[in-house]
Amino acid sequence: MKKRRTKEELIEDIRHYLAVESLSINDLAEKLESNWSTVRDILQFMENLDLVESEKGTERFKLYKMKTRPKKREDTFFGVPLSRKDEKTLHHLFSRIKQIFLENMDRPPKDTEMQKIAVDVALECNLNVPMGWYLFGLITVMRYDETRDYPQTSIDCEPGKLDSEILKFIEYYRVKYTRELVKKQYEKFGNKLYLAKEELRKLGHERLDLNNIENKKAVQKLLSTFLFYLPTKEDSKEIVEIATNYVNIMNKLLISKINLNDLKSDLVDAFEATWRCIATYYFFETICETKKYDRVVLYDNFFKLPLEDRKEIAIEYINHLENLLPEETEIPVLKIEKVEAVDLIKKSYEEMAKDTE
Amino acid sequence: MKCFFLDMGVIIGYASYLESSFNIDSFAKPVIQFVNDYENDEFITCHYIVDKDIPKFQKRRQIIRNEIRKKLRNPQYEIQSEELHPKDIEWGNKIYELKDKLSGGELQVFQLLVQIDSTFDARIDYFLNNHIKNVVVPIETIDETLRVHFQSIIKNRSDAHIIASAIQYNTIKPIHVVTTDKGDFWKLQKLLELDYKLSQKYKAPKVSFIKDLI
Repeated sequence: MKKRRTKEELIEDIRHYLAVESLSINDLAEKLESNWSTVRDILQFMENLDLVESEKGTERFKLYKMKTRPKKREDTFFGVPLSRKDEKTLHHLFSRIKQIFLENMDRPPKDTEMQKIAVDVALECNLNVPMGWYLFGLITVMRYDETRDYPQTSIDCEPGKLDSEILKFIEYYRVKYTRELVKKQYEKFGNKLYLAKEELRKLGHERLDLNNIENKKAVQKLLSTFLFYLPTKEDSKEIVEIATNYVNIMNKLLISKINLNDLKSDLVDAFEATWRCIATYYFFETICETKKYDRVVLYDNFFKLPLEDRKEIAIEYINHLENLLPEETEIPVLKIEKVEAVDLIKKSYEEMAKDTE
Repeated sequence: MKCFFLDMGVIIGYASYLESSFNIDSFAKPVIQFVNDYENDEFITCHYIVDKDIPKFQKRRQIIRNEIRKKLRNPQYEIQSEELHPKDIEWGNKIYELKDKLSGGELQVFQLLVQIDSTFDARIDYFLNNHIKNVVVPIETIDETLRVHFQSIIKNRSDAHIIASAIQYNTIKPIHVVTTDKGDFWKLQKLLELDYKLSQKYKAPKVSFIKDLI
C-alpha cells in the first residue's frame, strides 16, 4: 500500500501553525499544501475533540486557534507529564544503567535493553515510576536517548542495591537478538497477549509456508489465543472489535484457497497496524494502573488523538485485507475431532437463528 | 424448475454444518440434504435476510463470544449486553461451563468458538455466492402496508419483513418458501386474508418445513 501522510501528521502540523497564530481553512490549506476539504475535515475532527476553537462566521472566513492544553513533554511517550520526583528518579536510573552497562559490555545499551533493564530494576527497588506496556513490552514512560547524559541524583533506594540490581538485569537480558530480549520479558511477566503477538509477527517470515495446512492451523490457533488475551475492560470494546475484525478476515483468508505466500506483506501490514492500535490503548490502560495520572485528563490530552488516528489506519488496512478475499469455489468444511462441546455450541446457533427479532 | 425462497434458518443451517463422525446434526443435515436433493432447482432469498438479519446474527455471535471470553478470563464476570437476547446469555453461560470438560480449559473453549465461527462465516459467504441465484426485494421496496399487517399479527419485525418480501416477490414469480421453523405464522394465506385489500393485491406463496421436502 502506498504510504500516505497520516491524519496524525497533519494534525501535528496544524497544531504547530495554530500555536503561533489564528488561521482560516484557506490559510492552513496553503501552508500544508493540502486541499481545502481535507483541512476542513481535520479541523472539524479537532474541534470535536475540543482541541481547537473557531470564531463565529462563515466556514470560508472564520479563524481557528488552539485551545490551551497541558504542555506535552518531548522526552516521554505521547508527551505524557512526569512529576519532578519521577523525572529525577528516571534520569538517575537511566544514568546508572548506562554507566554500568558501558563498564560491563563496552558499549552503551540500546533503547530496548535500557527500557527492559530499567523497568525490572525499578520494580525490584520499588522506585514507583510510571510505566506501561507498549509496542514491544513494558517500558517506562520516559524515552531513552542514547546521546544524552542523564543527571544523577539521590533517589529512594540504597545505591548498592540499585547497582547490584542493574548488574543482575544486564546479565539477565544478555541475549543475541532483540526479539529474544523482548520475548524474555514477556515470559518473565507471563504476558500471554504479547507472547501471542510476538509469534504472529513471524507471519512475514520468508521461510514460513502459509499455504501449508498445518501452518494454517497453527496461525488460526495463534489468532484466537491473541484475541483471547486482549483487554476485557468495557472501554476496550472498540479496540477488541477492531482486533476481532482483523482475526475474522485473517481466518477467512486462511480457510480460502488463495495463495497466502503472495500476500505476506499485506498480512503483516494489517497486523502491525492493528497491533499499533491495541498497544496504544494498552499503554494508556497500564500507565493508568500506576495511579500516577487522572484517567480522563490523560486520555483527553495525550491519547485520544493518536488512538483515534491509529484506529482509523488499522481499519483501513483491515478493509484492504478484506478486499483480497476471493469468491470461494470450494465448500469450506471444518472437520472436528470428537469434542462433545461442539454439539452445545452448534445447538446455540440453532436457537439463536430462531430468535431473530 | 422450482424457485425456492430460503428463510434465514436454512442459510444458518447450511453454514453451521461441521464434518464429524459423532455428531447427529438435526439442524444442518436436513439443509445439506435439501440443497443436494434440489440442486437443479433455483434458490433465492431476500435482501432483508442478506443485508440485515445475517449481519445482525453474526454481530450477535461476535458479542456473545466476547462476553464468554470475558467470563473465561474472569469467572466473577456476569455475561451481559443490551444487544443480546436473554436466551443468548443462557447459551453463553452454558458454553462457559465447557471449560471443565475440555483438557485445554478456558483457552480451548474460546479457540473452538473462533474456529466454528470462522468456518460458519466462510460457509455463509460460500452459500450466498454459489447456491443463491438471486437476492430479491430491496429493503426500501418492501410494501409497508404488507409488512405492518404481518408485524401486527406475528409481533416480530424481522419475520414480518421477510414474509412481506416473499409475498411481494410471489407476484413477480411463483415461489416456494422453505423454512426450518414450524411456527403457525407460516400459514400465510390465512393471515393475508385477514386484510381484504391486501388479499386482493397479493397471493401468499406455498410454505414448507424443510424436513417435509426431503
